[in-house]
Amino acid sequence: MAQEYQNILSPVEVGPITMRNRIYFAAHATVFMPLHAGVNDQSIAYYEARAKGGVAAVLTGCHLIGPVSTLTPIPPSNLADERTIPDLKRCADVIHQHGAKVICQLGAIGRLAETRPFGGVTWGASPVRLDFPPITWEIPHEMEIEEIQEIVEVYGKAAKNAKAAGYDGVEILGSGGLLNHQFLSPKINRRKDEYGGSLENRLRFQFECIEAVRESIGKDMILGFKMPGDDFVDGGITLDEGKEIACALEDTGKLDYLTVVGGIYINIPTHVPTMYYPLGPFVYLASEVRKTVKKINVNCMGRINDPTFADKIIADGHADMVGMVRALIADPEFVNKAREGREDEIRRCVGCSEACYGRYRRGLHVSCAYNPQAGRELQYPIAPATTKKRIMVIGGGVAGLEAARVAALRGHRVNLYERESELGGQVRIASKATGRTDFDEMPRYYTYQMGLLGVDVHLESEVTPEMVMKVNPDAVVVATGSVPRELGVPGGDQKNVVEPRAVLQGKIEVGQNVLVIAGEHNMQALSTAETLAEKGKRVRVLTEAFYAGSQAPFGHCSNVYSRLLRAGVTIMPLTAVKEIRGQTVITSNVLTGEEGRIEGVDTVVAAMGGKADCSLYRSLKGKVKELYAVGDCTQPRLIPQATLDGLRVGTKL
Amino acid sequence: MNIIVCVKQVIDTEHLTRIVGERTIGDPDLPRVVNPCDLVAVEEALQLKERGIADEVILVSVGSSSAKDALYRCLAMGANRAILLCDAAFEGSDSYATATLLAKAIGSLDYGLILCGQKAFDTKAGQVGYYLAEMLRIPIISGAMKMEVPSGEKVIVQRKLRGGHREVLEASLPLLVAVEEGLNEPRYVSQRAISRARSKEVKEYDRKALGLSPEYVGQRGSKTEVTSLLRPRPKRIFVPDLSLPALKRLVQIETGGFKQREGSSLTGIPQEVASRLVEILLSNKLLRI
Repeated sequence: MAQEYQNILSPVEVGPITMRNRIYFAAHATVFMPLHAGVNDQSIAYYEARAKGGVAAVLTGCHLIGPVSTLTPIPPSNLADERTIPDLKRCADVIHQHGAKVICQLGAIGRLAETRPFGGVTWGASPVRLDFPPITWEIPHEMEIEEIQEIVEVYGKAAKNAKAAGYDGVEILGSGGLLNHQFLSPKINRRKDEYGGSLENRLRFQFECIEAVRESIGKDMILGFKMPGDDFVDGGITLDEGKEIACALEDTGKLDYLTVVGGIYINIPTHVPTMYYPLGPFVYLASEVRKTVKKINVNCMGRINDPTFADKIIADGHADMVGMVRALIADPEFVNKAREGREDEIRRCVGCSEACYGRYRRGLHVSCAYNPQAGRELQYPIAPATTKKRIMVIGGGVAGLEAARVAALRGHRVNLYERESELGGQVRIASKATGRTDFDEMPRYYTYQMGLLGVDVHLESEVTPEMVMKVNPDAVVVATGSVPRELGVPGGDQKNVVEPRAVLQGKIEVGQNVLVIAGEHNMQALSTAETLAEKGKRVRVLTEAFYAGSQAPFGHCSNVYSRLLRAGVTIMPLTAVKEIRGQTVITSNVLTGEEGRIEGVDTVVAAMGGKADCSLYRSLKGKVKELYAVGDCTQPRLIPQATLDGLRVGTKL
Repeated sequence: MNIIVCVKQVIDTEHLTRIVGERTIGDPDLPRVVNPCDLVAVEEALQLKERGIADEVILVSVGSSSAKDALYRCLAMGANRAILLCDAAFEGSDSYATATLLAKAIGSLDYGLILCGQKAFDTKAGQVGYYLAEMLRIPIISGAMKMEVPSGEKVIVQRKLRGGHREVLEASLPLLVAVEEGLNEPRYVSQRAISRARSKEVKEYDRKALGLSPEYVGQRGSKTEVTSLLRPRPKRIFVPDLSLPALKRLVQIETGGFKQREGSSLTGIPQEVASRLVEILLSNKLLRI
């Protein structure tokens, strides 16, 4: 055992079962469709990769139960249905084969459900709506006593099925703003009956669920409860009440562990902390709860992406186990790599939420911005190549790097050429923005992998078609990226109109009064605006959309908006730029056409996204044996699409 | 009088370092620089030479052949000659074994003063100077923040104590002085000057040339052994002020408890701002005229 991670790698008793170490793959919505009992071939492959990667346990789910849940439209999707047992059993067996335990997380969605897709009625503790942009949920039906009892029964039935499928335990989801949390939090639960009001009453539903589950699973299985430590909303659960909840839960004598997290899905989505948060921002909640309870195990989770940090959490007694989701989506082999002292090989989650939470919020299956294989384990297996080829990858952005990595893994001889002196392309530039330094991890990971896999990296090498002809490789992957897209209005070519890549790299002087034009709808404009505001500039952001950053991953917008607003940045929606005349910017409202003038603008930052740089690809077309284009040079898109291009071509070569 | 300056090439600690195996830092690709403290020592020696107090400035280094780059840089600054103690057998030397090598090489030279950096920026042991002085049976003054050599016979040194206090010591030559960063500002040398310095000879001595038997060098000649290296430990877990409203708590968590100092900002034309700033500093007794 590596001496370094002896804490995190030490076994731990969880109720009747011993875990092989202290890192587990926490439950999360995966959206692998069609969801059949919450598992299917793809999700089993996804869980298998993490079990194989060394985690102590895989928590499948959240398996939503109850009569209304929009995420499980295909029957039999309700775990309370006995027909789900064979699928669950297959899942449990696969995870067990790799020495990991398997726990089933059960939760009822409550007021987060939508009736629009399938009709039905949204149930809630009280008719209190979740108001948070960009989604406004419905005002739910206040559950009647019989309906509460129905949910309790369903918990019991589902747990019984998990037991029949050979699961090692069940976790009740009492956090994340789902139904149990809705009963627990005074912010949402306004009931006047025995299920609302005092903490004792708000706990009643929890106790009933716990009892029903324990009765179904008996003494030989683990029962855990994921609870909120702080709702982060005034009038909600605070840490003090969280401690009381924990003690009351422990006193039931029916639970083996508590997992403590933050947030309630009402304000900033704190349950998936973005890169704007430091590592483990909510570990203290678990830590404080652990100090209060008598002896029950307390687990923590939330943006823990590093074995050293995880080890410290255990060493210092903040928690008994560390749950990870994104860290393990990014690198399924996290635990094995740490154990073998290969921590530099770990693909650390950067907290960008682009392809995990960002995709999930759009109803798409989870993946990872720079591990595109995540969630596509069956579609893109990386197998040794039958014919070993000499491959030339041109461009060291993430698309080219992923293609080079996958090709080299498969045994091809890869040469990678990059114009700049460092790898990473636009991601490296993005990492220069305030609060976004974690993006640095992507170039670090890829640079390290290139060395490890023996890819010959040629930096500061501009590749010409003649060079390609001279090298005469078996295949060429063009990944030349994009150039900044111009503003394209009269005056857009003035000297005081600059583009964000140069601004972030500090290559250009920016005046005091800045107007950032959000001509792309992700994070480029917003993060550039914040970077400039932090330097003391007076910044205004202008967008033609209803709001800037409308396509940014869920969670990022609230973080960056809060930061921008605190820094005094103003944001003008529905506004197009018509013309720039010196320091005057003439605007027009996109809906009314009403003209406006913004005077005294020293610098206009035109954040317009990219324009494909495909000249090399075009000149090579028809002249080389095998030619591919990946990433922005085909069409400027986001990191997940770029790396997926790389993976696709890398596996095809 | 000749001055000998001990120079070490170190990994640029600004760069990410990593642990290779269990006991070594870094890898051959990491950029290397002259230990910043040693540059100060070289600069001090050169200034003494320029004032006519010293005749020759001689550099001595222990390292692999890549350490020549460090020596060329110091030669480019103006040092007269350089000696590199280089042998695969020297690998794994601790401060003691390194001092043994330096003492052997320096013992045969004619010198009045030895300068070295207080400590190396990579290992931060700060011991070589003491061992070396002891082996050469000369006194050592460490932590030098200021030094004067009024004649060719004695040295007056201001040593760094706690909280800005200084101790002034005087010693006669020969003497070893370990200097702190900040004693002077090492001169700039251009890449061209460094390229030119590459034509100068760096004398290399291996174990045999130094006349040392194997038990005195490398790990065998060392008094200490590196048993393991640990990666940096993260900071303690932050707990926000629980009495704050929810959104304020979140901001505190997001910033890791770093509080933006609230204060007034001065605006206006630069001259006005400057004079008002001076007034504020004076009235708060932060500045005295």
